[in-house]
Amino acid sequence: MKENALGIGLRSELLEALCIQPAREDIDFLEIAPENWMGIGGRKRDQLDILADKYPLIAHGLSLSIADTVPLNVGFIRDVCSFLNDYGISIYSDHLSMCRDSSGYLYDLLPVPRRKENIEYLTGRICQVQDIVGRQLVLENISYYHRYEDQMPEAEFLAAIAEQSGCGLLLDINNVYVNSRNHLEDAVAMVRCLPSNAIVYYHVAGHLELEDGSLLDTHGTKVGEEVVRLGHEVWGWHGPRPLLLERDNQVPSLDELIREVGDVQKSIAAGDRYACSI
Amino acid sequence: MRAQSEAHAPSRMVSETDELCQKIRRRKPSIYSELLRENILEVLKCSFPRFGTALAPGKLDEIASHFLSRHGAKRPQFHHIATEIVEFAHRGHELSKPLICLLEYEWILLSTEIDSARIQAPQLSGNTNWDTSKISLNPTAEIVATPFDITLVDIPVELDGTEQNYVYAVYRTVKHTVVTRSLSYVDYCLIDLIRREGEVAFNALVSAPPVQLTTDAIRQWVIEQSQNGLVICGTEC
Repeated sequence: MKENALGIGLRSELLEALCIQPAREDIDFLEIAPENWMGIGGRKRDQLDILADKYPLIAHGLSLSIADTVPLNVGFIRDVCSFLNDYGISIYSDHLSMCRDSSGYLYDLLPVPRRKENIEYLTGRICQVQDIVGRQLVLENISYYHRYEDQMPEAEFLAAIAEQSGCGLLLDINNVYVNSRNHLEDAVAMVRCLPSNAIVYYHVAGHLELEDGSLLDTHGTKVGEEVVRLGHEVWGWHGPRPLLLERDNQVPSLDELIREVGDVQKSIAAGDRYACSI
Repeated sequence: MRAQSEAHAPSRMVSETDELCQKIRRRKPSIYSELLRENILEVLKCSFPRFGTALAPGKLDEIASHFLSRHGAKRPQFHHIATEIVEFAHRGHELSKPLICLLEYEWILLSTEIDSARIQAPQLSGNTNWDTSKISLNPTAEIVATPFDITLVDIPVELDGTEQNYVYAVYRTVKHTVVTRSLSYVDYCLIDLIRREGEVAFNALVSAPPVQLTTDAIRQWVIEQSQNGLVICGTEC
């Protein structure tokens, strides 16, 4: 995939429009959550088959739960592998997070305590996943709303895990910004500490500012100007990578979404002021 | 680096992450508690729209909260959250029989919509050789029996045990439409026979003991159900 490729997350709301149009030249790939597509049939499956013939797909998982403390769900990971193979998907990403406890799945992305003594455990699990899926696992930095005590800096933690496991990193620029605002961290310093060679692609998304001034990573608005500015820092420091716009709520039309990701990339690359109207 | 057998998590990591999850499950005030509850509520509303509107005000929120605090979901796929909710409703929540029926019925609609089976287009033509025809059921078909008419907008509040059974076939057509078809006694007998056998020769269907119909009537039944998409009529090779 070319280093300045553009993509959007595939949502049900976009399926019809994407299927009836010829392959568009203004996007290069689609990102799908395998958990929403694995093992299904019917209309949605037919639509996915149509789109897989038109666009390269990236799989971005939600339920791997790489950082929980119960044994990996190996059956599920094998199913993911079959799905990736069936659709010829080479990039498989998920989150450095947990979504499960000993009782079961919670269906959300929860943070892991960032400590040196946890790195070896996590690295072992990442390697186990990579062995099963036969691909590099790419892990995303999440937005988090809970802080454990005495943690190491996030970038240092991510870098150590990437180095020791060989996993890739999916740098979510919006998540870095949201965390920096919510936890009074230096976003630019954080991204500069990440190893460039591990970064596989970037995410951008919109967030919501709550009444108390804290930010919520909603994927429900346009990308904010501050996130674009941080994206410019990232682009300048780590270089171009495929860029994906996530939009999961209040999804606009396909044309609008594709226009937005194109505009965001131009602004990130050039450092131009980005006109964002929410 | 290749993975060795899976190691145990450091004990502090276990205790800290357990504590966070327990707080979320017990709805101690946090963004996560609210987000998770809203996620489950959204699935309930989208997957079970009639069930949601049939409940008393506030009951849906209660189910979402109890699901989080009491249910250990085992399925990672998001389209299976609805399945987990149905399991939870069976085991852990006090719902009336009509509400459980409605929940299960809406789950069957969802499940049929995404069933991985491929459906063949109807193959009957004017030249069909009935002597070599084999009849099978649409692979997505589920037979549903309910103690009230599930297709009505309003469902009964309670049941007194004297209700008659309504029987339906729920299936997906070749054009991906999910159909609920009410079945007569004759329909049910013939479909049950086909379902049990997997595939039945037309002549075997004619001589089936449960119903006494003429060959012409059975032929007409097969043609109609094939056009409806409920049965598939193929020719023996």
